[in-house]
Amino acid sequence: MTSINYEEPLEELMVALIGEILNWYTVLFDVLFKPIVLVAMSEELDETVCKQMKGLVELLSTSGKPILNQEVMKKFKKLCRTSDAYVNHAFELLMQQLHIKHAEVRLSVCQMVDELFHRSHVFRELIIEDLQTFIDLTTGLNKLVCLPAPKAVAMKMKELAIKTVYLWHDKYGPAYKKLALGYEFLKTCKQVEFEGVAADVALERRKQEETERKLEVARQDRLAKVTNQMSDLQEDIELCVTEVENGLELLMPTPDQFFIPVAMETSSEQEVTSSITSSSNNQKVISSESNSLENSFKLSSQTLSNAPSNEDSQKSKLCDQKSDCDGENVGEDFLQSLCKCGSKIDHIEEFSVISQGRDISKKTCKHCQDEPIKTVGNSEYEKESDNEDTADSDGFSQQHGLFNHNFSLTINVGGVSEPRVEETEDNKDIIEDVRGKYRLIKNRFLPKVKKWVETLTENKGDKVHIDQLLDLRVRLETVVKKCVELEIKAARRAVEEEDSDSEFEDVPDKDGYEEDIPEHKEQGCVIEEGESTGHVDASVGTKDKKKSLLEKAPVVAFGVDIEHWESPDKIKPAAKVRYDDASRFWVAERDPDDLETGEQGGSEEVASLTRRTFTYTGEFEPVKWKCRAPLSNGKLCERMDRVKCPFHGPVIGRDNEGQPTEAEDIDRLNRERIHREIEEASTSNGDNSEGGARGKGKGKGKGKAKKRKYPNLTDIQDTETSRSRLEAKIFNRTTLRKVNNALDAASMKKLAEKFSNQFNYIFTDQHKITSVFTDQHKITTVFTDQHKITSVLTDQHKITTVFTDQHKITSVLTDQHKITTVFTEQHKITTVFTDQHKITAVFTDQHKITTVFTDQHKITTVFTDQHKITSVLTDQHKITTVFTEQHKITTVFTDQHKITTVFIDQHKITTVFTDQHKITTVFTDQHKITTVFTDQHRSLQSSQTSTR
Amino acid sequence: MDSGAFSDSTVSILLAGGGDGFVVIYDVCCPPGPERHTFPSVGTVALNNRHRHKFSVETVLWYPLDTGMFTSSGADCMLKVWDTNRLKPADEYQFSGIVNCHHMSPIATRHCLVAVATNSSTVKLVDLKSGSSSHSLKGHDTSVFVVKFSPYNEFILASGRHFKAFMITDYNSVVTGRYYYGTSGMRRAASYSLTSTMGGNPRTYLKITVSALSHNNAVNGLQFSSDGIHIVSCSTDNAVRLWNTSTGKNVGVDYGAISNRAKKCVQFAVSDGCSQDLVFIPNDTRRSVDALNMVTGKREYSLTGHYSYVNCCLYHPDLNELYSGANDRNILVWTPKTFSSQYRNVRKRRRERVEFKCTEKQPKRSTEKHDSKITVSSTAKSSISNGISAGLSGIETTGGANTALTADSWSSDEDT
Repeated sequence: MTSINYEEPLEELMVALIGEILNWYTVLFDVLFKPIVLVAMSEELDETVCKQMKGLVELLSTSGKPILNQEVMKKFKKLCRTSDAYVNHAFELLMQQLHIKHAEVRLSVCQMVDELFHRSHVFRELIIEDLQTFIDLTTGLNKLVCLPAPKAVAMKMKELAIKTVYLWHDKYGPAYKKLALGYEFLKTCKQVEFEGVAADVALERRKQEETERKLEVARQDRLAKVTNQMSDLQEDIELCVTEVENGLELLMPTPDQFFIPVAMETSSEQEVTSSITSSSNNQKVISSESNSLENSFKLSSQTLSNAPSNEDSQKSKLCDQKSDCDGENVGEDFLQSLCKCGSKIDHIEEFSVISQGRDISKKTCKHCQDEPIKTVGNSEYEKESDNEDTADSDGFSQQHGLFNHNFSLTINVGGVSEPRVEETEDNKDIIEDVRGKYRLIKNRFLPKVKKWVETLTENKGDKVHIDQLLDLRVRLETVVKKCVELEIKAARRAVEEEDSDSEFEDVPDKDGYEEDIPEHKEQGCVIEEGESTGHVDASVGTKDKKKSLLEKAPVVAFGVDIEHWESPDKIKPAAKVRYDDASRFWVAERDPDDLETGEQGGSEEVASLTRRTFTYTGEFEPVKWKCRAPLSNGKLCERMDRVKCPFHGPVIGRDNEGQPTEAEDIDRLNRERIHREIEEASTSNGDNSEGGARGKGKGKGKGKAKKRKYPNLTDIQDTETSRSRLEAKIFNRTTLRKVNNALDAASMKKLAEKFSNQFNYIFTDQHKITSVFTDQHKITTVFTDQHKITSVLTDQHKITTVFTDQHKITSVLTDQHKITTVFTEQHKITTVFTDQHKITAVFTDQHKITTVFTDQHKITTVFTDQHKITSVLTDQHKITTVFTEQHKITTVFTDQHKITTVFIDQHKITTVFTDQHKITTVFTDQHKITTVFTDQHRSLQSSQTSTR
Repeated sequence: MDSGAFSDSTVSILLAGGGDGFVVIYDVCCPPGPERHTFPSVGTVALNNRHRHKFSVETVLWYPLDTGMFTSSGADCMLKVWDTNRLKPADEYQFSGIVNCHHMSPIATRHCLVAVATNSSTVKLVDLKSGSSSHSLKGHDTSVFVVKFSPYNEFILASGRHFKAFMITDYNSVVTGRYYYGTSGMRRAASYSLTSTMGGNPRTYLKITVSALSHNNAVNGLQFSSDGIHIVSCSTDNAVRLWNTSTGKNVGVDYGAISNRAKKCVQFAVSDGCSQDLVFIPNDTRRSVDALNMVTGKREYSLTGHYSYVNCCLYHPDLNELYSGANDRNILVWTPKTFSSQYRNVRKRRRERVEFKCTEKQPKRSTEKHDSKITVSSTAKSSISNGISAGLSGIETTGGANTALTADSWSSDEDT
């Protein structure tokens, strides 16, 4: 604001002023609403990404492994890299995870933090801001914050965290003040010995450098070696390749070489005549040289010589070519031109042509050599004349390689299946040479070059070298490919095949008859013969052999198995003789098995016939060694097995500690152990589920084994001690039940021995019983004396006399019973007859009853004597005679009853008949009644003598 | 550092007391710059000094008018008056209990009293002139944790006691003539302070006792605002309260819970000269120093950087720097970000706490001393607790240069 110029127009001033004010407002806004802005930023995060991040953090931290999964970590880092907000989110996630009380989780989180720390400045700032928490949770240097279980991992984590802080400080200490402060704090106040860590780190670095240096040296060595080899061999290889290439070119010219520039073609026609002489001269030289020159030259001359047999127009070109090119290329040029004339002729056709030409050349070769000039000259001449005939009329067609309009070339593509170089006398040497070189390249050079390229690229070799080698390799490969295409290799093979075929002899067809019988066959024959004819007639040689064998063979008594030596299927068990008809009475019951198997002969019986027992003739040698495998209790296995211990495998040499001494045994055991561990690790989840299945299978309903959320982590809840293991075994429900059953059975047995079948005398004296007779019994006399009973006879019983004497009963006869006499004497009863019963005489004597007959009963005589009753017959009953004598009753007949005779004697009744009843005779005697018949009743003969 | 007091005239010298009985003097007036990381120590009372405190030093205090003298007190029940130049005690006072705190009036011209809070229930007044701990102020039930003189009235003293209340004592008329002449007046003053609340001579003119608005636990920190109108108290009930010194009423500012579990004097600081004064108070759970707006009670930011409990904070009114000492043996200096260079950065930063940047640390020398001490004496606590006192001297030093720094960001935006 101070810089505002007052001479400026007012508008500008205002604008500047407003700008300034706005600026300040934004400042203010920022200062005041920063938290809000923060919230808004966190909202910007993509929810799915956040979820993914959370999943990754969880996955990484609960892996339970000492080293992070780098792939997952990379993914996580990639997510974090999107923006600072995600880094912030990651920090929050990690800190949240760091608070989980599990050392393995924390270790993993610590590693993750370390990785992110090196990557992100924002993360560094966040972590350093909260460095105290991080240190507390990972190092356990704060006495108030204990490191979580498992202890071993926690110690490892502590070391790692201290090292991490050291490395952080080493790298970022100067840049981050608080980190340096934290480092100082750990060093001075917590007495963390960073010197040791520093030494470790330095050592590690030195080691790494050392290994790197070694690797470097090795690399250099390898490079030097390769370059040496290269310098030695490269020339050879190149030479070889060139040779092969040249040879192949001779054998099979490529289509490129057929190319002739159009200008040359046209000019050739004009020059034809002039070139005749020169060409003939050339040819002269060529032909003269051809005798002494190599094959290739010969070939060219061959093609040249057979030119007359081919198309005329080509010959003119050929002459032309001859003047331009040297003699060696002549043949190829010819072929080129050939190719041009049939512009779409492919390889196959060319070769057929070539071979054709060669065939012809064979014939004409001699002639050509004898009179080369003449032949060529002739041909040239003919050609020329032909050309002159057609040149004017067919100028167009000439230009396009067509001879005339009537010309038709039939190309038989399918005729010759593959390009082949047929070996002839003439090209034999070339082919041989190429073949040899090919073999050399294929077997020696190509692999070598490939290897060099590999080593060079691996060891960062010189680029020029690599390029060279790559070129060379391409060349070699193309050569090899060509050779394969040309079937030079195949040809070689064919030769070999021929050779190998010749190894086999021709065997004449014998029509099944063999003069020489192999010995093993002969034996069979003899026995067969013996069987069939009963008399052995063998040759002398076999007899000797037989004798020597017989001497060795053990002597065995003749048996069924020997009888049927050749055809063991025919053995049949001896039929059992059954005396069915012998007697009407004394017949053994036939076994059903016999019935089935008797006829066919059981396999067991057959086996019993064929099997032989031999007595062991050797002497018994007692086992003098022990297994001596180390046991868990520190002792050695005492089993004395001859070969293999059923617990510890084969018996092997072991030292005093029980460790195997032989190297191969150690190896084998190690392998087995590793295998086992892997299997255990891989099926650790399966174990859990199996456990659950087992629990289900037994039908205990104990509940499935709880599946842990993070199966990779060590279960820190599971504090497995020897005590807990023993407890689990001893207090196992099944074992407890087993033991209890055994004890019960023992006591029951004891009781049964003493009191079995003495039911009449059970409960003769005072007992305190809780529940007896839960199921159907047939009882005559029970409870003769004073008992204190809570619940008896819960189910259907047929009882004649129960409770003859004073009892204190709470609930009796809860279900259907058929009772004749119950409660003959004084009882103190609370609840009796809760359900349907068929009762004849109940409560014959003084009872103190509170609730009787709560449900439907069929009762004949109830309450024959003085009773003190509070509520009787609460529900529908069919009663004939109730209350024959003096009773003190409070509430009777609350519901519908069908009563015939009630209250025949003096009663003291307060409330009777509150509901609908059908009563025939009520109150025959003096009663003291307060409220009777409150509701509708149908009384036939009622209140005869009742007094109110 | 445990606690400290500082008197208003010093700019350059910081005094720090340690849990090992050491007292170190630093010169904090080095030219500020990014490369300045560690202050040099000017003098130390260390292991080789036979006059040093036997146990931890709880309070160190410069003589308000001069750096030639400072006082220190500690857990060995001693109050020592030091000659700064010779680093030898000029006088020593023995008390019956641990000296929790002592304080001198920063503006006193008419008396030269040191108020000493000990584990006993009385506050002792030591007259440096007569050299005697002449009289005591009663009124507390149990040990007194903190005493503080008012910065505007030399006769007003605030003391915080162990249980639930603190009181402000005015013994104005103590000095009116009679103080200098005899002990009788002092006795009277003591008795007055106990007995009456009338307008008589030395009296407990305000007693803030148990009520709904007061603290529920021991008051262990008191600090006057720079104008002396308000007093801030903190307590182990994790509350911070603001009181009006004239009415004795709670102003009713809600500062939120500030964790505080120290069973000793907590020295916290109130900023001076900011548009809205801040209270810098150690927070135990976060091991940070929280900056609270004194008027609104809002927590502006917290300064994290200590790795252990912060014992004391000290605000330098001229440099606008905050010094905090903690159990991690560091004294950190917090400087405000200056407007010109960093204000715009502050705007961009997402977190406000960046506004204070930690630039310096405890001098290396003293750290080494602490280490050696710990190895030698097993009686010393493993953590260092010390007191700082910002000494005074060289008033008005290089004022122009430092005023640039005073454009502090916590005083918010509009001061240009």
